[in-house]
Amino acid sequence: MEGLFDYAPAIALFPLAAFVIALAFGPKLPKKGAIPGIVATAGSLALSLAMVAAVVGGEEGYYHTTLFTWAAGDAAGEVGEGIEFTFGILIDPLAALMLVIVSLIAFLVHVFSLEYMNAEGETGLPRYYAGLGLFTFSMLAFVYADNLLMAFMFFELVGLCSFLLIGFWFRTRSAPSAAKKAFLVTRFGDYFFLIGVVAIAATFGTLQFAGDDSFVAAAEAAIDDGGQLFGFDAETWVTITGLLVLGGVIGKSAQFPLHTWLPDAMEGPTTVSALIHAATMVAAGVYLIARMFGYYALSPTALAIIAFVGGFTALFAATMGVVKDDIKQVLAYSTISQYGYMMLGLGVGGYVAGVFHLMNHAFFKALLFLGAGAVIILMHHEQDMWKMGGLKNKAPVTYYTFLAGALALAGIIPFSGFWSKDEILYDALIVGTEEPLIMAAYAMGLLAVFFTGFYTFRMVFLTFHGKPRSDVAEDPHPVGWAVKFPLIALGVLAVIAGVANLAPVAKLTGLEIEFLNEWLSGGAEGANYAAYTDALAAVYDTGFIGTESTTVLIAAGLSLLLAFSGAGLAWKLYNVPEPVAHKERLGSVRETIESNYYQDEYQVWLAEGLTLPLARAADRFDQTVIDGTVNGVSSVSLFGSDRIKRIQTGIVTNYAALIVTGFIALVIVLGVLGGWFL
Amino acid sequence: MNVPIEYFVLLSMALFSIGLFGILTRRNALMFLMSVEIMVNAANINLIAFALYHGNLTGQVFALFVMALAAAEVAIGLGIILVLYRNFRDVDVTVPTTMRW
Amino acid sequence: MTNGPQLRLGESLLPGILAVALFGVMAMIVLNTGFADEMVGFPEGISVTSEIGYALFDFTALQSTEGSIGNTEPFLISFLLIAVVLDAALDAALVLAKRETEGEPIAALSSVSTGDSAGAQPAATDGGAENGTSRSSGGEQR
Repeated sequence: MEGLFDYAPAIALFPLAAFVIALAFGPKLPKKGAIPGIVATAGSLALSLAMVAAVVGGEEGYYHTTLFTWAAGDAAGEVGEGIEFTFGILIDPLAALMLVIVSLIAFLVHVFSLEYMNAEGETGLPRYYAGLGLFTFSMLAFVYADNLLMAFMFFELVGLCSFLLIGFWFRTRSAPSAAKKAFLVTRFGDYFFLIGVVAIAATFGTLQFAGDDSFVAAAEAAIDDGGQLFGFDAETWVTITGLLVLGGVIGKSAQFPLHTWLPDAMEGPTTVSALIHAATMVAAGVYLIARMFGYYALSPTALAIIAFVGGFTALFAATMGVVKDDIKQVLAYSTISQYGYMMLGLGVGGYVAGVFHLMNHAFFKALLFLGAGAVIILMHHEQDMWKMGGLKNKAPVTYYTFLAGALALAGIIPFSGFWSKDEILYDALIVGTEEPLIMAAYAMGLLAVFFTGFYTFRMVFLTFHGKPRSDVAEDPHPVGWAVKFPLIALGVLAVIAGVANLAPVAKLTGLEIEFLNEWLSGGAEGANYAAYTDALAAVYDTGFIGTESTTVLIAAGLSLLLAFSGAGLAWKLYNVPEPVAHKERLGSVRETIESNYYQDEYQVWLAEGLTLPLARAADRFDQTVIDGTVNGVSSVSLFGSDRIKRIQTGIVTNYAALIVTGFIALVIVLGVLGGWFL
Repeated sequence: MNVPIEYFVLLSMALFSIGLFGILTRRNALMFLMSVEIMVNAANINLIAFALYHGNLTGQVFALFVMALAAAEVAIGLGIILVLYRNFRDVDVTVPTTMRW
Repeated sequence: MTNGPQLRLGESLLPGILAVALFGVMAMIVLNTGFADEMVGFPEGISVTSEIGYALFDFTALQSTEGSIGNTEPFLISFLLIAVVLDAALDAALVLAKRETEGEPIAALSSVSTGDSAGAQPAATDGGAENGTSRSSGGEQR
């Protein structure tokens, strides 16, 4: 099985080949590049599954190789020695799991695109499929990157691809603006990430994720030494660099306050939204935290910040999702909220819980987006939920799969989302009993469960239940197998994926059924769940309310209760034949929420009211003081040389006299110094 | 007839300074040329004197070469003076002052 | 116009002080330098002129080995180079001396131009006729 690892580079190279083919020959191909994309992602999926098999069958349980060294230097870091910049592959259980998720979602999105894009007679399809191919390539390469620099490069490439795809309909007014916004906002975060990468490289002299020469191991050693790094305590410095990298994560994973790009990114095709939200762009941020979790585990401060930002974002985004009318907007805010949960889970040390939710979310969010795409096909590209209704009977496949996704999203037992979300909240709770800050984050996460249940079922009821509220809803456009197949595949996964880690059941019954837990415990030494558990023991105290079993029951019961009450409220309000908007009842709060808490406004103000005048002042300073100095120096020089050039009379006698004078002076000086005139 | 080397050197310096004096005070290009010749020959005296001083013939041979080079220099110099005269109707070196800034 | 040697006295001699000063400085240095009293000189009974000739043409076999004479470097290449340089200098002098008429060089060694151009006058080195028709082109006329 070990030999399979030799084919690992091909996982990412298949979509790259599809990108090249779609770009070069796309217009001539029968489906404008869809076929190579589907074949390539299917190949990637097959190889990813083979990687899982190889990880299971292999002796070491992971695979690490350096493919290419493109710069090596002797520059010494604060701790390590020479730095090498390499491209390498690290496939451990985490990466293998993520490879499967990404390639699966990419494959299904490609298939779905056959109907969503091709059948609609879109123009520019080769560009679309080329973008999808490049997007998948960058994400897969990011997933199996073995060092932070390579990860950063593909992280950036992912951002570029999202720009290209969100702006796919570049002839509209909003799409290019949304693409620009996504690009700039994530770039703002990536700027910190870049500084973090440089800081880590300069500090530890290595950027490897795993192994003895990883920066995680180096940081751990530095903290144990108790030395100073760049004038800070080792632990403080690890926190600082960790938070810098976190800047990139917050931008990509759309956490507060850099979440504003994500709802606008709905301007792209729905398939692209599915890919971005479920598997690629947004997942990249959380995956990065999981990838370098050992590093964050060294810094309680960074972990607490991750947890708090996550909990806050979960609640914050969920409240905004409540009042949206556009089906895709609701999903966008739910994405932000769900990634907040993952951050919360990782931040409280629930490594398995966070990764588990990442996986489940990938399935059910891809399902929901593709379901929304199906609804949009049904509705002839109408996205306003108030114009839908009654689709339940006309499109049963779409309805039931969408419902499965919604139940998973809302966290209703026994759908997959419940298990992972409950595990996150349980992990937060046991830490929260000892740490007030985490308790606050937990409370926000718990409250968000209610809103999640509410907006999810508001969406379901408005879309599928009641009576049709428009002509198109009366007579929906039919959907084909290319839509139904991905929906069914993902629907099944959304229902059963929770089996991977039935932690509460295991804790209550003592059965050994925490498969994901065991899976993530394997892999590279020091970069697996077992090692993180040791590291975290020093970070967080955990406590139980009563016994472990009662705590499990309390956590699960609370979140289920809130989920059901949210869903129930939605059922009460909107599961009627003629639902009406209830937003007016919110009063003044409504306007605040509908304006997304004025996040865009204050960020625009920051750009226009603060940065622009500052840049103008800097420009003026540059134009006057700095240029003035430079010009002053040059005019002094000009004036001086204009005077001094008059020495040049052009009369040869004068030159001779000058030379002789100089020579006499030289001889006298040398003579006096050398004692020639004794 | 053993003359100390100092006197040769002094003679050569005197000749050199005479040539230099000519260059510094005269304005006629031909006089310039002659002054330069005097200075070259001052160097020759040094070469020959030190050849004798060290008992080595290299300096003597060099003196021959310097003479040949002086001849070449005079040839060029005269050519330049001709052109000078043609352009300025004068051989006064202070007249052509255009080759400055 | 400087037509002949004129002894100019007075202020124009002022820069000459520099030359005198240079002589003074150098003379002081020379007088303060301790040279060995005895000159080595050349060995008795050899012809210095012959030895120079041998050195010039690389006849090392014929070169005397007495004293430091044998240390004289061979100079054949230098000799040839100097010959070429001298030749080139003479050619250059001729080129400079040639008169140009409207960009056409007049044969260096003939005193009459070949054409019937305005420069059909003796190419005297004194600047030619004063009537301006044959005044050379180029240069700043004053």
